Amino acid sequence: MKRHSVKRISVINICICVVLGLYALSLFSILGWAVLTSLKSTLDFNDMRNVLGLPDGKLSASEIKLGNYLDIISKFELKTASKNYISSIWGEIVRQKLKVGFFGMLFNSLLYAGVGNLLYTFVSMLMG
Amino acid sequence: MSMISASKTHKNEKKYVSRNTMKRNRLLFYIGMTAIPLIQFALFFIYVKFNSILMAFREYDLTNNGYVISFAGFENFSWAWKTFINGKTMVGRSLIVYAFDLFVVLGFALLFSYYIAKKQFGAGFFRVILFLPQVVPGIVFASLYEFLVTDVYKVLNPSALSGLLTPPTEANTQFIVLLIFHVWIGFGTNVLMLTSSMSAINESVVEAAKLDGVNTVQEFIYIYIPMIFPTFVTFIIVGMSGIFTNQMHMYSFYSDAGTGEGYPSVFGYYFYAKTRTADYYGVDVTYSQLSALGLLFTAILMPIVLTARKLLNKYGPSAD
Repeated sequence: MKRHSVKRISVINICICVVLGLYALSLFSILGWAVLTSLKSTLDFNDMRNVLGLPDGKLSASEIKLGNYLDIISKFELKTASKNYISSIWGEIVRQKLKVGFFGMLFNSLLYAGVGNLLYTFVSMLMG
Repeated sequence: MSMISASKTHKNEKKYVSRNTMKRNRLLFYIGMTAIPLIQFALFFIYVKFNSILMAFREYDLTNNGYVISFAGFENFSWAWKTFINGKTMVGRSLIVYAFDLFVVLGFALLFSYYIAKKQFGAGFFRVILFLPQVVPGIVFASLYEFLVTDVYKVLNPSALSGLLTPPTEANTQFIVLLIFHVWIGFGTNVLMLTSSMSAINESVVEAAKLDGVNTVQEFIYIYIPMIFPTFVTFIIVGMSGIFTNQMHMYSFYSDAGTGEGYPSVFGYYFYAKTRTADYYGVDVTYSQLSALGLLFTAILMPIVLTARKLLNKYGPSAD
């Protein structure tokens, strides 16, 4: 005769599961709120005080079509440093300001996270 | 005959040479491998610590010819001691943060890790979720939380003069808001390490205990806790040694501005923010004074940490 094993579920495990579920909900809700806010215009969010609601179709028309994301990718830049170089036409020293954009930063982050962590792990392994 | 013996000797020599080459290559490999961590240790630990000690006894003055370094005696230590004594509120808050780390974060992390290690319902999913605050940059969560406790709070409470993280909101209220954030995103590493330790426990030990009739609570207290106790002790000791350097994510919220009046500073943040704005001379807090403060923290914490470690290892539960 085939035996059916019944898995005992303890009250403690149920309690932990509920707490973990609430914790997951708190993380997802704040990330969800961030996504929702990213689809709103400044007028919609700040001036109309639409902090928690869905984006307004008229006020956030372009933002709903991922306008904020496109802005970040195309307009985001950070002045990092300046360098001098000798102009090939006039032969004079020209001061050029260096900038890093979205993809430059993304590359730097990946380089730091990837190569940096590889080195860190390698050195830790050697020490360990 | 002599030709044969000569060839044999040559072969032996060759073997001998190749063994020597192998030995030398192994030694070179060993030196090459250990050089990186040793250089790193020498540069970023020994040199930094040694320089901190030297700096704590130095005073820098600017003249027309550049810096002039003079022996400051215990002047910097006197400043450090006064700062420590006057910063009782900061000491208290730093201790509260550690208490929360120990009892709330580590306590819950233990329960969560047990749940995940026992592969209960949704264990894999919760494991990822608990580590999510480490995957998503901390500044992202800090910014979102800041929006919630400032903008959203002001919308929900229009009569409020400010958000919950800036004066005129009371410093203690700000501290509680920060503490909630600190606990909220603080489970990741603890859960990951504790789950790994719990997963390494031999299943036959747990099975044997079950046959003896232990329930879930007994299994957790008498099997899991003693088995992972070395990992547990590591967390306690690391947390304890970082009491005065734990900045509770305050820099993400306040940048350098949180050391002023009306802000809920802790020593870890004070130390960090002041180091950022410090210089050798001509500022309210110099590198030399901060070096002395760091040494003072070490002098206070070192005996406590060493005693706690000894006591925990001696009287704590053991796997036997």
